[in-house]
Amino acid sequence: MELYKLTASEIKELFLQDKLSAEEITKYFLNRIEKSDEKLKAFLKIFPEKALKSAKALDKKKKENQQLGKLAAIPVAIKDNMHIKDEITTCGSKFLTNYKAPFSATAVKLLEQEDAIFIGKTNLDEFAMGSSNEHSAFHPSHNPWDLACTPGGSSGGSASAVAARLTPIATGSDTGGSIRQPAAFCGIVGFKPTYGRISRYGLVAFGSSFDQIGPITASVKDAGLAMEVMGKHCPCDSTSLNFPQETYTENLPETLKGKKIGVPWHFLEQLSDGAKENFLASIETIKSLGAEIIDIDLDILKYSIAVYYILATAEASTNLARFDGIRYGVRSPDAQDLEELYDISRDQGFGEEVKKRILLGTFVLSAGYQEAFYKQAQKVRTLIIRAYESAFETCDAVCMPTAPTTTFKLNTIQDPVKMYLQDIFTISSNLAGLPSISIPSGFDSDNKPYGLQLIGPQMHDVFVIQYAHAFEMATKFNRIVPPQFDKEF
Amino acid sequence: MSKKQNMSSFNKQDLNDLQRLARIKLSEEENQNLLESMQKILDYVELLSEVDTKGVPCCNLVSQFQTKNVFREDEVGELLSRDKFLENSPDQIGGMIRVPPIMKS
Amino acid sequence: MSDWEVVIGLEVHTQLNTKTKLFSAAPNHFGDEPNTNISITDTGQPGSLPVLNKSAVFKAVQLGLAIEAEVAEFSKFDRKSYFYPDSPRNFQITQLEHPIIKGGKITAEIDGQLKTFEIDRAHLEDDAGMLKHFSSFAGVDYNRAGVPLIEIVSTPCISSPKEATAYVKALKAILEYINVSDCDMEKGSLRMDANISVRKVGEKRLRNKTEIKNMNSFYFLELALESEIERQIALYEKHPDEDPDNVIIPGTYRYDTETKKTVMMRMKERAEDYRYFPEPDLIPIVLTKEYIESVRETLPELPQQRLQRYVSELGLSEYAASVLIVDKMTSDYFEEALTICSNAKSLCNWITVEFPGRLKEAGHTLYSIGIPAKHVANLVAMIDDKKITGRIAKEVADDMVKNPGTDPIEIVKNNSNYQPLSSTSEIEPLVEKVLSDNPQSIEDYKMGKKKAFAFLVGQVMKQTKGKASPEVVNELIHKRLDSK
Repeated sequence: MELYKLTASEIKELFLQDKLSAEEITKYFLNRIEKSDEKLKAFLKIFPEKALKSAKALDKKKKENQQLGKLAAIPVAIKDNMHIKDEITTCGSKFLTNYKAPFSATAVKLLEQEDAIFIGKTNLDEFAMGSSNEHSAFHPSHNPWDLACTPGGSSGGSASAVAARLTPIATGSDTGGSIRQPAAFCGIVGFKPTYGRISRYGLVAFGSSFDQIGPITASVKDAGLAMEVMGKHCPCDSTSLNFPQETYTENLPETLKGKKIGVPWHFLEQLSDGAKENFLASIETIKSLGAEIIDIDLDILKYSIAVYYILATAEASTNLARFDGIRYGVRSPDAQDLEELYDISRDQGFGEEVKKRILLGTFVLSAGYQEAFYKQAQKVRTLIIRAYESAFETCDAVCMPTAPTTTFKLNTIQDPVKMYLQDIFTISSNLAGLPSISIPSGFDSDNKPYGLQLIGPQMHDVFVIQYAHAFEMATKFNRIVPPQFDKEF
Repeated sequence: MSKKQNMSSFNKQDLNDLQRLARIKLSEEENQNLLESMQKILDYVELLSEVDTKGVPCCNLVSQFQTKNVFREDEVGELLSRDKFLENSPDQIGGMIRVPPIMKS
Repeated sequence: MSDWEVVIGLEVHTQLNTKTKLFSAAPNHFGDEPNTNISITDTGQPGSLPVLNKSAVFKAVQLGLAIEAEVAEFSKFDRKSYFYPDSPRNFQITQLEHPIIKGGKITAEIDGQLKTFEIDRAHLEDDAGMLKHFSSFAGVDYNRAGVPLIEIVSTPCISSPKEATAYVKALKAILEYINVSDCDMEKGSLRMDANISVRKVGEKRLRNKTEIKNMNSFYFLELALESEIERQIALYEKHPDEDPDNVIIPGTYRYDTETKKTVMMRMKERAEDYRYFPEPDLIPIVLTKEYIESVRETLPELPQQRLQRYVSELGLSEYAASVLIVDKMTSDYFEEALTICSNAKSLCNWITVEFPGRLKEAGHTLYSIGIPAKHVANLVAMIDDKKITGRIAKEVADDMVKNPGTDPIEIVKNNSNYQPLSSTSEIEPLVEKVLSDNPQSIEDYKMGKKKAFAFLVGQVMKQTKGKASPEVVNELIHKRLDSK
């Protein structure tokens, strides 16, 4: 039947038309997970009983002609830094191996209300800090296109699972590119909404002014569908935008006629040859869809990594202060007194990357350095926001590659700065709170995927989805499944 | 911690001070690895000092739409039950979280 | 002592009496079983977020207006980082850079003089949980975590422990009058920290200060301050030639009730680095002039306004009025009594002097012992209506204290000893007796000695056991003597 080749929207149609039951769909994907996750290690936890129970209940609901949700019968995997009530949320960390979430994240509740079927929790870099999923305290995840390679990070597990078609939709979180870069490395779609569009309540915070939850899917329309469900105002999150929900999936155009797409050519000089070639080809596609390419100046983006690694770590150093072994999480049995309780629990509970970022964040906020580091970074952030505002006066969206390269082999990048530079194209969207999507744009000579990024002004999420959809329709790269998983199991 | 002129002079003492503030105690090996990493990163982020930010305000708010007065009515809402709270606690006694004794003075 | 002057700054933390906590919808309530008034946010659960309580902002603005401060049109929150088990997130959400209230002043009466104290700022922040100490462990209760606090910071304009108490009492009165806090020091809803230094009279610069934390009663406030002043002066005098900055080292102290001395808790050689930065999870507060004015309209009569009214409309002395207003309960009690009996001066005297004198030893107040305002009013009314003499009234008051809740009208009715003797037929025989017993006095009086008359009146009063009205006795004796 090759159900795996279908998008979530298409699967839902089959369910609505009584061609397949929710139980059948769920069993199908559970089977795929069972057969292939060993190779990918995309999941930290799978919920076969829970998923089947939900599926059966949904089938009953349908039989009784009750109103069905927008994600009816669609299996959804949740990145393991978002709470599903009463399930463990590990955040990929040893610290929280026994932490049972006392509440569901708003985004999770919204998905549940629309009849999504939760199929499992996916692997991530610990506390979402990383670009390769190598920093999960448990094990790395693998890229379905090349198992020796990283799926990207921090939402590596989600991207890997969707790319291998183990689930049609997964949630990710994006603080510096953690949805988009894995989506690019895995040849699928990843969308980070406008800052505040999706509630952060129940998402374990990393960089409070950067974090956003977003969908990782096999098609742009599916991402739009997920946005219709999750993109709502939440009174439990003060930064949640008080705007009505929007429609993303109707009237999706297949043209970019009349649109102006800005390209910061100057900034793209650091691309590898292959990446450059692929990007130029994408630009040709965009032109052929009727868009005009505009030169824009985003040179200031060269500071975005530095700004990000000062501000996000500063926020993270305080967001992670609550993990101290006192109220929840693993408390070190070796501690003799209160000081040791903190010091040792945190040393043992956190991995190296997390500790590094906490210490860095503590440093940039500390007396004597705050002015030169934190405050300076805050000011440069303003300049970056202004640069985008200026750019958007002349174009409808900005176009850049998602990552400077395609995926790389696990354990090959040790230098921290080199790893951080992976995020050079994605990070500025988080700094400026802009909606950004990564869509598959082709392959390199080793058949590893490239990703193209489209970035819009704040609250232009629907437009970004529309532009991305047009590109997808013209290229159909998203329909290509990694060879090892392009079969029934 | 006294201010330093350039960051490659970020040293072991600085790292120790940070550990005290962040309440993390690194092992000897970790100390060495982290020191090198941090020196590299701090050297890198120093490039921000070349940006002229005179007169530029700090970005304290990302959203250009949500800029003021997000409030909640003063009404009791959903509580966390004590049972659920303590379910995750490493050590509890009499309904309280138990921690090692704290010197009062 | 007189060579030295004292410089004190006070930080008063008061819990606002909102229904719910500052950033979560858990109840703001004291005294419940541990960890039963908690929410996701108050326990710092991962994934939790703060949302600001509208009512806390409103009450903060009310306070700002009541202390004649500037209500900031723009204010925001900051994170203050420090690790402690009573902190659910290991950072407090407070307001450093842009507090909601700036400036302000309070007037208080000290030794008959009015002094105005300048306030530096007041801001909102969330309270921490509570640590309960036991010998082999400590227990943490997060019921209090997240309760809204207003921290009111004075300028270092307080120059004695007495002034410190007066300042806090005046501030407390304002807080009570505008009903933003129950100011219960025993429950911890009003807490005081002091910064204190001394210097030679006339010296311009400020010397090192020490901090005394968490004093929870006026009694201890004054004792602690006195003790610390003594300690500092003694040290300076012991080392007159040393650099003052080396004599008194900044540090945090607490008052030890056993040794009756201030004891160091920790040194401040390394100032705590709180690493304040703007709270990214909260959106700034922007208040319009219209909003601020609308809050001003909700303010009830303030203590100083009430004082002025007592002086100008009721004819009380400034001193008497100041004693009445310093405590809202007392003042309200007085106003209630006034609705029954209009003799303000007399009521004031009974409420602030006579009854407190009788209740002091038992440690009670009029309201705590249960004597309703109505009864005090009735007592004064009876005196004014000459139903009892002033002297009898004092005995009736004693009875009221012994049996709180018994109406003095009943007390007088049921005790024949209190019945006034005003019928002349009962007094006349006594007058006759006294006159016949004291012929010399009659002679003296006729010779112009007024004292003799008073003596005779006194004698008759004695005979009547004070029950006779002095005016009536006067009249009767005059009648007898002047006619003869």
